[in-house]
Amino acid sequence: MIRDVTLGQYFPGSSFLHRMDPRSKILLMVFYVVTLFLGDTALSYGLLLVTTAAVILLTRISLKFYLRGLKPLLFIMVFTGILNMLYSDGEPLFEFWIFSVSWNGIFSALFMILRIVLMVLIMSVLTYTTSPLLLTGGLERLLHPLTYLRVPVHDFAMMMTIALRFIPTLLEETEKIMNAQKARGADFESGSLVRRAKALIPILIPLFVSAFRRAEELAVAMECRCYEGDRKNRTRFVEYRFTWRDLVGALFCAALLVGVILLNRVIVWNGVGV
Amino acid sequence: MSEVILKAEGLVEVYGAGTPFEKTAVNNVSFELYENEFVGVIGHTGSGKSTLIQMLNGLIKPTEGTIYFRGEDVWAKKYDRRMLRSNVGLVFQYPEYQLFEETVEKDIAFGPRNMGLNEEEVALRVEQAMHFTGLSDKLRESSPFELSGGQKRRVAIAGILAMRPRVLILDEPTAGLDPKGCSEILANVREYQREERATVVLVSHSMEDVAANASRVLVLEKGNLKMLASTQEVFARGEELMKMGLNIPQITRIFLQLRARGHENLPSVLSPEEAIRCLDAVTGGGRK
Ligand SMILES: Nc1ncnc2c1ncn2[C@@H]1O[C@H](COP(=O)(O)OP(=O)(O)O)[C@@H](O)[C@H]1O
Ligand SMILES: [Mg+2]
Repeated sequence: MIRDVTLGQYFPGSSFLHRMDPRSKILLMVFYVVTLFLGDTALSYGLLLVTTAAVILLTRISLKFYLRGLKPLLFIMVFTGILNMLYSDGEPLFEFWIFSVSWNGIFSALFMILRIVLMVLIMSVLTYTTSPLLLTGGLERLLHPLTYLRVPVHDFAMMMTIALRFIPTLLEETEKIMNAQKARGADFESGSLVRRAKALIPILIPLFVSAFRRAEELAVAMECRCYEGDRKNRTRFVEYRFTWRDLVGALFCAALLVGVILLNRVIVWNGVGV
Repeated sequence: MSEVILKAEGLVEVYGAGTPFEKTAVNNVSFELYENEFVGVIGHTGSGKSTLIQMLNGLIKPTEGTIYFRGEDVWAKKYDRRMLRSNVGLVFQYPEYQLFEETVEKDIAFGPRNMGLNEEEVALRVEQAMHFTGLSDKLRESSPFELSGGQKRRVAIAGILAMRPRVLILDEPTAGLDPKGCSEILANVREYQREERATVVLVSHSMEDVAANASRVLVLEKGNLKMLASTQEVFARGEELMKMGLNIPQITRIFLQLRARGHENLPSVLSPEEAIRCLDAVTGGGRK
């Protein structure tokens, strides 16, 4: 069913991560990804693997949703992995045709895959634990300094919020209209490409009509509540406040960075065939 | 009794199975619909009415259970479900939002054209459908988007009637219309039923409308089939209905209360006219 698409899906909850400030979650996520790319030894990756697993457990969201989020990337991961394996130098383990595979290659491929997996997982943690509204709200506050460069940050954030709010509504509407036309014998599944494109007209027209109607209604409703865009003295209903949770998160990420840098230096066996 | 036309057996529909949003919208519902009868479907919002009726014309595949149209399993391998949808016509809630053609005539013709009928037959059916729904001939060439809300609704209903369904299902067809528009649309539906000897399933929140039109009533609660009996019997169980958050026609409620106060000779009634007749009989005829 159309509604099942998971598009940065949010899972309501009240875990530690759910209750962190969206601004710090966004910043710390960026920080975490950078840290991920700094790691380059088995030890530092071991640490990152453990911490990511710990963070995921903290969200109290079933592991199967994280795995589901990884699925679409399976192909890219395997592809980059193989490329990395074939095109890295080092003492060849075995050779065939024009390729040579070395321990070095295998390790760098594994690291590459691990990097992508961990990155996707940590970004899922952000989108799974933060409602789209908070996410755009947090982004807006973070980008606020750009308003001094005359970037309409508030307007962009409002557009994004509205778009996010209406994606599920529009999907639902599409499904309804499709069903209504199917009830009149419309056929979207068979026939030539041209015929199928034509079959979309009975869906698209009502969809546009209703989207415009909704936009108009929303505009009126917003004006009725005296919305005038970004005004200097505009206060907010929801004030974001940093709490001890955000401090803990920041300390955790800082410690992780230090840990990764230190572990990078400890050359027990860094995979370069020492 | 006449023949069974649609049969539902153990229908179950689960939305979003395996996600945190899993929801059983319809739970083990079985019933039979007969030719040429008028069935009302009532239930609280979210009780699964819309889901149930979309299963009846093969738009939603039941998670479990079987639907038979004239004895044939509609989810059997080679079954033509497009044909089924013209036989079991479904008018969605707020059907005016599905209009898309340039003219009223073309929009009504969408269904019959999809059935592969020739132009002559299509034109005939459009004309008939417009007649059934009380749309004047002058509107043929108008854009459906410039009509009034009530007219749009009629055009949308005509679009289904033009396929001449043997079973006509309407999902809250009078929602958001003025009282006159409501009673006119219901009269149109009754006329269609009478002339085509079709089966009509009416989903409605108006107990008065159901009482005035349906011969049987199906009650859903939280996806479960709670009652399926003659309109008289169902509304006589007013207490239970009210526990489910449903209403009964006002006049029926008054008579129930009168009976509870000791007027045991009063029967259960469904309409003001019926009530007057009873009272006349009890008090020994009209005004003195
Ligand atoms: N496409 C859908 N996806 C997920 N849940 C749905 C969908 N359609 C309906 N539901 C849910 O199923 C239940 C029954 O809905 P519905 O059949 O529309 O009830 P009714 O028409 O009686 O108001 C509701 O709880 C509703 O939220
Ligand atoms: Mg409904």
